[in-house]
Amino acid sequence: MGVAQCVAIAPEAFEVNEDGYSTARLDPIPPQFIEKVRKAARACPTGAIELME
Amino acid sequence: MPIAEVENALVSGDFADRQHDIYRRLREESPVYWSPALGQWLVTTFDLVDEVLTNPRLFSSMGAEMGHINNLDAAVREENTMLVDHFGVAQLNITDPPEHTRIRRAFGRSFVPRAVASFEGGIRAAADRLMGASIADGEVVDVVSRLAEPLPVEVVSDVVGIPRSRRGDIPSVTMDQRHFFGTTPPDPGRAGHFGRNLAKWHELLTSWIDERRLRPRDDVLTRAAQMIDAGQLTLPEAIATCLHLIIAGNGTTTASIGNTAYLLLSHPEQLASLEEDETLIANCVEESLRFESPLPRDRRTALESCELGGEIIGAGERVVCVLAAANRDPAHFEDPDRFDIHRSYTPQQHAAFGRGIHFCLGAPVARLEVAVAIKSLLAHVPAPRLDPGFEPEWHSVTTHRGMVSLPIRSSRIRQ
Repeated sequence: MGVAQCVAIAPEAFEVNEDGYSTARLDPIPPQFIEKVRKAARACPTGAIELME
Repeated sequence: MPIAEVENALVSGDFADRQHDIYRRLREESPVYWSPALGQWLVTTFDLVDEVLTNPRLFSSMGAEMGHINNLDAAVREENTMLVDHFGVAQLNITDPPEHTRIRRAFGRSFVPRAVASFEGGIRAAADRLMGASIADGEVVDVVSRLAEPLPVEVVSDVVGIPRSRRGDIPSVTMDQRHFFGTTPPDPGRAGHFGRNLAKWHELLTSWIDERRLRPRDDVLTRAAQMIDAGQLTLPEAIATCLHLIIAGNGTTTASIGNTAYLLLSHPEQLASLEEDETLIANCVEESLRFESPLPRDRRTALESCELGGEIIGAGERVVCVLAAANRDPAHFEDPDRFDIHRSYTPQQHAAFGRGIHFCLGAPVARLEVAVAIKSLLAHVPAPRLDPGFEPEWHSVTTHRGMVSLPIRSSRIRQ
């Protein structure tokens, strides 16, 4: 919803789009960023990030 | 200053004047510090603050308010059942997942980027109305009482949907909450006043939510009515969170408008570059939030015993994340004690709005509001100046960082 906690925590994997919303920029996620993406998912206020493993 | 002096300073009357020095000492020497006087851990580096706030399973947001209420005598508590009724239900800032996620989703729609962009015209009109006609040369204006205090009341009322006739009551309940939780042990007299005030607001909010079912509008109360009817939210949860938004959206934004104005006026070269290039305003707001964070501390409770930064935290102990200290951590910000509106910011780089799931819901509104307020101030007060020798008087509470007053004057003729 535009909180961008994921962009702050894992900028390699998320970005803010033109409308001000956060979107995933990497799919699949390279192994070196997996931990950061897990943390970003934990930090999302609305639980909007789901990691499919 | 040895660490014993730091401990004394934490509870001394002049803490507000020395806060950055004291936080720097803690960050450098004891970044996870147990304060016997406060009965809390203070966490002062950016990375450790981030670690606590992004781990809600271990560091809970629940319990602190009810703990304070439970320290009242049983008789006082029974007389003021509203305190327990209000703070005992799940509400946005004092709850954990999964309840938190459900409530956050319910209210989040009112704060998405498109919704917030639509507030701008209303905020500008309110700021210009409060500033009134241009300030005459030499006339003194207090930025705090003229603009920083009334503007957030107007904006939060518009967003939530509070009718004009009741907006004057918002400062009273805001102060009640601040004083009740800011006094240890809790004061029974204040508890009574706060309890009666809460009861009145519960009645008002209930009737407004009912009204929105018949006549929906574009506001948070309408959203709350819809979420209750959809089974996403209970009425007590909706009321508690609406009132939280009213109170939280108010004092912090007041502090931030005053702080930003003060920082610009006390750094004339920064003010000059902003006047030259208005697009710097967004950056200026971020830098002000970092440099003088309006909510300096964010509190959690450890659910289990754990290790943090080499210290062992016990289950049930209070862990206070010092956002104001994290925001001046040299490991995260270059030359952190320099106020510089040209600093380049990546999204949510500082911690002034918190981190993780409790990241301030109203952050985009607050950012817009501070930016609009500063632009309106600069448009209405030509060549604003502080009086020579002006020293800020900070509110003497540790729960927020703001100035008591900020007298400025226009000095166009003497330029």
